[in-house]
Amino acid sequence: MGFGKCKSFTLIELIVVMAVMGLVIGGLLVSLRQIVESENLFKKMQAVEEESRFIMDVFTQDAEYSELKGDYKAADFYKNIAFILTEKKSEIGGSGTAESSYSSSANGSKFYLKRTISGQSSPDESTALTLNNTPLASEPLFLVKELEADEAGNYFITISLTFRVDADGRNILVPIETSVVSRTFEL
Amino acid sequence: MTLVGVLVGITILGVALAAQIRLLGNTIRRESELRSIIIATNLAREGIEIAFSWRVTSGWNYLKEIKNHDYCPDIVGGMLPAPCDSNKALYYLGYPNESRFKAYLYGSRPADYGYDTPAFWRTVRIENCPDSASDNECLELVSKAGWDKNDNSKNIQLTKKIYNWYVP
Repeated sequence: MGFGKCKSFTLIELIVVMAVMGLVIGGLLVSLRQIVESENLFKKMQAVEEESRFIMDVFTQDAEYSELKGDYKAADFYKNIAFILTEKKSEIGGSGTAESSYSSSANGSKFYLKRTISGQSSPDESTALTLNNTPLASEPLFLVKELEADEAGNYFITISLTFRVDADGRNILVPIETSVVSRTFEL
Repeated sequence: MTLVGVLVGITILGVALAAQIRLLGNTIRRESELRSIIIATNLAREGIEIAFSWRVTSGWNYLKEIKNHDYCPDIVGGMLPAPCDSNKALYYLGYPNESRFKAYLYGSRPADYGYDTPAFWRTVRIENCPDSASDNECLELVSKAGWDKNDNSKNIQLTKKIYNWYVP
């Protein structure tokens, strides 16, 4: 059997096949790249979920069962807030010994929520914990409303955060808002 | 191998590629849903707190009076047990132009300013506790927050039982 009898591709056929093959492989690679990017974004969103859950849990504990500091009792918006870590209001008369305050630090246009525990008698001795790794797009916001007709003087406290998730150059905002009724006197 | 044979092979490869693209689509959709779940969970939690505040301000008997109806309260409109409109929407108010701060809040009415995207909805409801015969002793707060459409297919529901400590 000589080469002359062997059927093979023509040059045109070869080019057509290579072109189609190139399109298919190229599409596959683009898809794979997008899958990897999506996977990264998904992980970032899971981080937001975990961080927001942690923030809300610790904030809820403070806001529900600790006394709102006097500076923040007017119905207003605040950029930071503080609670006196005392016992329930049924034990009023004893002053708290420590304070839990929420504030933010900025790094450019990125904001980080910080919880500081400080002793009232020695405010210099404090420990601060940054609560989020995923940056916030704006400063945290706290909204305080006094619950009217409530003899115990409870407050409705809202925390509003907007996480900024970087997704390959474009920002995805995740605005999270939740509220807590202080229960210094539980009905 | 003929040209037809090669094209058949490429077609099979194309089917495999389609599966990859479908996987990509699912991943992107799942990411979007996760974002919505995070936001809706916290909105539902807030709904529970709003209902709890009605008990603090208005008392147990008031909760009994308004039970078994859907309400659409928000913190911007004063947290009252307001009736729901047809889509029960919560509008993301973006910048409600608060005098000093940028306030990112959700309200049940469209804002006059900023963007308002009715992406989420929420209802708050008070019901009898399923394991309690009398509403004098126990009530259940039910807060449901969802997204996309108000068709109950994508939502988070939280419940909380509250007890009347003063029941004789």
